[in-house]
Amino acid sequence: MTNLWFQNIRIFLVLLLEIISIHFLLCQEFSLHVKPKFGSEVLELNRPYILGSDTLTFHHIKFYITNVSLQDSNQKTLNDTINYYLIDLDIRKTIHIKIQESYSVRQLKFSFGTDSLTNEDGAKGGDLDPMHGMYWTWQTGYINLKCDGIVSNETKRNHSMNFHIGGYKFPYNSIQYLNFPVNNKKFAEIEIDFKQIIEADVREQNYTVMSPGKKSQRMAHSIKKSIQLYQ
Amino acid sequence: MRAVAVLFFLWMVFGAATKYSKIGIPPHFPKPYFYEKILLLDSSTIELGRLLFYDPNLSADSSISCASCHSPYNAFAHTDHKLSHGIQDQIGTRNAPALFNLAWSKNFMWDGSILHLDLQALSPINHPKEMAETTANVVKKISQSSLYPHFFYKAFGDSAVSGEKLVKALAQFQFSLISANSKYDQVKVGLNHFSDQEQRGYTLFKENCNHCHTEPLFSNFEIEKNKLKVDSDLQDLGKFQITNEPRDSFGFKVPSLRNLSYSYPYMHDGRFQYLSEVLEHYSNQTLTSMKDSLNKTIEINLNSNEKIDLISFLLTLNDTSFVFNPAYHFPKSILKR
Ligand code: HEC
Ligand code: HEC
Repeated sequence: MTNLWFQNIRIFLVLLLEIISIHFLLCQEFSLHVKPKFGSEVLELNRPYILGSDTLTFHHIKFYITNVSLQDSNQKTLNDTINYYLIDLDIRKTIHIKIQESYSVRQLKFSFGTDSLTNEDGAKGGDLDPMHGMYWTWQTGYINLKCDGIVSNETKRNHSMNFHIGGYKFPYNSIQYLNFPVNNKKFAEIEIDFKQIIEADVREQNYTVMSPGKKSQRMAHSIKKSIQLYQ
Repeated sequence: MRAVAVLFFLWMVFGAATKYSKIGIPPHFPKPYFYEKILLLDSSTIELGRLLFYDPNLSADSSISCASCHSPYNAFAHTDHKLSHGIQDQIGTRNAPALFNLAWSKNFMWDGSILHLDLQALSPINHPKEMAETTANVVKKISQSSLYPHFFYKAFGDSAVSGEKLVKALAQFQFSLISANSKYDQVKVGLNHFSDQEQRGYTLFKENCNHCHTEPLFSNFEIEKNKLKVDSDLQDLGKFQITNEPRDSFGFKVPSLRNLSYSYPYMHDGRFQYLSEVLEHYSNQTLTSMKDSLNKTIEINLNSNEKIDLISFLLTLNDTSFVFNPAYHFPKSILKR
């Protein structure tokens, strides 16, 4: 009697182990790597870059990639369970999404920025924790992109450069939706060209956009245009 | 009437009077805008929030706490200064408003710029003229203190400090600040009576003020214009500063009229010290409400007797048991001054 019971338990444990290991074998990752660029150069923090007669140095660049989802050849959608990623060039540039071995990725969708629901709700944790400094302190809403640094040229030295891009309310909502075809591979790299983003209307904004509105929205559009996917 | 009175009595005994755990919705109040927040109030989180509210470590030089500008004895407003008075004697641009019944409010700040109480605390903490800190640094300081891990554990089941928990605890303490036991409230539930003069004032109030200062909270929590003259130094355009929409110029959030005897001076810039000055401003006004975009106009004409009657009614909105409730005061058994 006890023997039988013991054997059953053993079979059960072996099966359990099997299931777990198969799960690990079949469960894989799709990685999305973010590569910031300044024109043709790779952008690194605290290095000078030239834009016309100005020299720009970036101190911090942080932004939100959210609502990541993948689609396979059968149009089957896989929504990532963690759906907010704070990309911080000081800390993290890669997102990992769990997929099944058999899943062949054909489409990648994600948003640049946070949606209105997230913005109007109460305090949130993890990557959305207000201690990351990505929540506007004087109004409601997340900053979708924070890019701070300094600008120098012949007449001014070390003027500050602050782009705090966001806003979720109509008509100045700034979230951007992106969608790329992907080869059946387990990784992709997105390049974001900050030269293109800043150049778009640098004269008008004078290297400062710090609240939601027309300028912020225009810059959000430039961000979308500047993003390319490579594999 | 009797049923309401019994409910009110029960609410006083089991809701407000017990330490805090069972904070209920006063029977003559509508459903709160942040209904779940009131339902889910929990005494350990409130206790933590109360410690944080009174803790000057939330400011850069450990000199200013939330209570420096929001004093419990002033219904959590500030009476020493017209305009807010922050770190290193810096003067802000607005008057610190009273804090109570916040779960019924759908927006915060004089211009309604903040839509959730959880996130309001980021404003004073990070404001260079208020507490001049960063949220990340406050989280760091709190994590390093020997006092807090225990209270974070009690509140959240985990002693790790985060920005989310910090602001949620502060918000819970503030959501627990409920003022619902003024003479007016007692009259509403049948436990008291207005004098003739107060009754006349109440009638005048309903005709002239209730559209914006809607009872029983005494605010419709909308952005409205009461036609104060613009202060040429401050040039405060109210909600316009947030939306850039011309129609929002000089629009300010309607403040509650409860506890006015404690929360002077009045208006967004604290320009009036006395209620008589306030009524002088209103005594001959045509106001247009912005609520629901119906542009309802309210003609106000008050003679001097009517003003006195109206003030006697406004005084029935003072809630002494709220202002002197020790559960809201400095937690002297835990924090050192
Ligand atoms: C230096 C003074 C000062 C300090 C310190 C301060 N406040 Fe305030 N508080 C103000 C002023 C002024 C306003 C109005 C701001 C505005 O309308 O722009 C305000 C508004 C508020 C409101 C909005 C109330 C409403 O009904 O709209 C809340 C809630 C609040 N403060 C809570 C806090 C908390 C919590 C802290 C501590 C973390 C704090 N305050 C610290 C001055 C201060
Ligand atoms: C059209 C809407 C409207 C009407 C009607 C109205 N008010 Fe107001 N009231 C406001 C607004 C908006 C404010 C805040 C204005 C500001 O600070 O710039 C305010 C502020 C006040 C304050 C200052 C409270 C504080 O804590 O600072 C008092 C007192 C007051 N009103 C009393 C009255 C009385 C009494 C009446 C009726 C005679 C009345 N109001 C009618 C919109 C209105």
